Amino acid sequence: MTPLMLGLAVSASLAVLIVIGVPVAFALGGVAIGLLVWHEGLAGLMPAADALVSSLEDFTLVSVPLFILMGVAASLSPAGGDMREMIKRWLHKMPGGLVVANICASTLFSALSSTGAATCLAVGREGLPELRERRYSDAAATGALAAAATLGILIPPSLTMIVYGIAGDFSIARLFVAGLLPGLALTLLFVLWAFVAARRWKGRFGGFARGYTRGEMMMLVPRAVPFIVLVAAVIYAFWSGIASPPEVAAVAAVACIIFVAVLYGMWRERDLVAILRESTRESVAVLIIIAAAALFDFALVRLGIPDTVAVAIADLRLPPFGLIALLNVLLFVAGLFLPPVAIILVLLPIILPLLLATGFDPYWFGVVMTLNFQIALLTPPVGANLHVVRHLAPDIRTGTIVRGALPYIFLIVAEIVLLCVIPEIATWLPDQLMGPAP
Amino acid sequence: MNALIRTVTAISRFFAGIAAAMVATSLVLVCQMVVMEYALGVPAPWPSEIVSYLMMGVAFFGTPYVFATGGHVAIGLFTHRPGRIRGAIVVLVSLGFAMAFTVTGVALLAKAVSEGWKADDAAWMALWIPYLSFPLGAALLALQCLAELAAIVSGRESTAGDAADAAGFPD
Repeated sequence: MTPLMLGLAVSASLAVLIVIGVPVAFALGGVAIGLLVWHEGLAGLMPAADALVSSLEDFTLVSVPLFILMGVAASLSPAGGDMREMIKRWLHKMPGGLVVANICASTLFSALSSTGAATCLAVGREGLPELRERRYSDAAATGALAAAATLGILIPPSLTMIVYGIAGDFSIARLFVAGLLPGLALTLLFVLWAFVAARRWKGRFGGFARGYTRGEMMMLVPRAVPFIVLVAAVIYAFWSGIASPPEVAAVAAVACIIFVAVLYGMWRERDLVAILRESTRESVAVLIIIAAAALFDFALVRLGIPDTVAVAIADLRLPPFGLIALLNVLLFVAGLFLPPVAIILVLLPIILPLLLATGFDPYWFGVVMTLNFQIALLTPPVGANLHVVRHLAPDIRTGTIVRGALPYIFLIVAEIVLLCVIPEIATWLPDQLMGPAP
Repeated sequence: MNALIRTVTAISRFFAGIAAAMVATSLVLVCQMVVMEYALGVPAPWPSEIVSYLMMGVAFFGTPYVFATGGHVAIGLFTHRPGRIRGAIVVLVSLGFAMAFTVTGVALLAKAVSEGWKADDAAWMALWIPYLSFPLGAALLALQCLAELAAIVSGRESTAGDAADAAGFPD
């Protein structure tokens, strides 16, 4: 069997295992073990164990649980709901204002959370019931919520960018800064769409229960200010380079825990235990996928699959934008079956040499890739945000959520195209603040 | 059968508690690094090395419990009750993964002990201590898979999720 055929067979068996319900980490690990034993016998397992263990021996990796801790502390508190309520009151005269408030609150909350799921949970917990109560159609309500929450992985801090930075040895701070403008641009596109759709299809978008006085509009601002200051401080720490990502993550996590304790009374033992428990649960899931993906990658390299696939793609002699289009399709297909963290570790050894040889900026590509992962969070069967929305509203079918999210998926695709045409959207800010890319 | 699954899940839960303590310890250690470096001006390299070994412990000690009971967005291993044949395939693949790394983990541990591996910056720490989490976590995962397999073969439904609920860890 040629390495290329083997690569296809490996992809197919991985997809089958995941679809029948094998957890992603064990599917990656199981296929890797099968490959190694088939190729090298049981002796191949010992270096594999080394690869698995050493994939976790990286200090920067501690940013993952610490940023998760910050996001979980904020998402278990009413902070996300308060941000949504505050923005909702400001927008009470706007058509589709409730949906727009959800989108804007998701953007703001994304700067506290490093995952799409935490953002979705924090904003949707109260946002979704209110949208349904105010007669928004299920598709309009859930689609916007699931899609806006994907901004959690584009707007810094972002878990996928941390893993991309570690895997490719890129500056995580620079990646975070690169995601900032595209994140705000995407928010703007989402808001514009929601506004236009609300005017065009009035029947699918309800209204507000009542108007709000100026006092009511300002009432929740004091509660949001500490979090906005925290977000600004985190972003400043990244671009100024005063501290490393783990250090920023630790200080931000402690600050966030203090804020929720003081503002929302979450200082009791059971509150702190709940924050730690949920953070551990999410961190373990991510860390074991990182380890299993490193193992999978190790097995592929031993069989020479990444090089063969990279050469096969290079032999197509595609023009630069043809290559980017092909990589985007590859990322989209992988996103149907694998979570973003696994895709980065599995595909980067194939993709990165091609990108660098073609002269693309890896920071720009980090943003394009993350936009692709945002689509992955919205596509079944593994789209994490779909699962969170189903958790919040079990009576709504996955198909309805995907139908509602479709316009937003098209907007994400539009932004990918826009970034290909004007790469400066991602590269200008880091170039201005941090100098040219090394 | 239920008692077996409950016992295994309780052990996994205990190790998940250790994983949580390791997350908290990492937070404290990194904060201590920040204070030492920025407030006192005396950076110490050893906490960063300890923290990276703690990440290993978090992943390996936490995995059996988190995957047995399903995270809030993760696809749960035993809580989706996907039917006997599909369930058996899911458990067997996971069991293969766990068994392979229990054996190689013990071999790695033995090598670390016999060759006297030490950490670099935190040279006072023998490396077998962090490496212990690897075979232990894998063995516990294998045990969880075996208990589940026994439940599937005997035609009973998994109670891992129920055991977790009873222990106050709802999905």
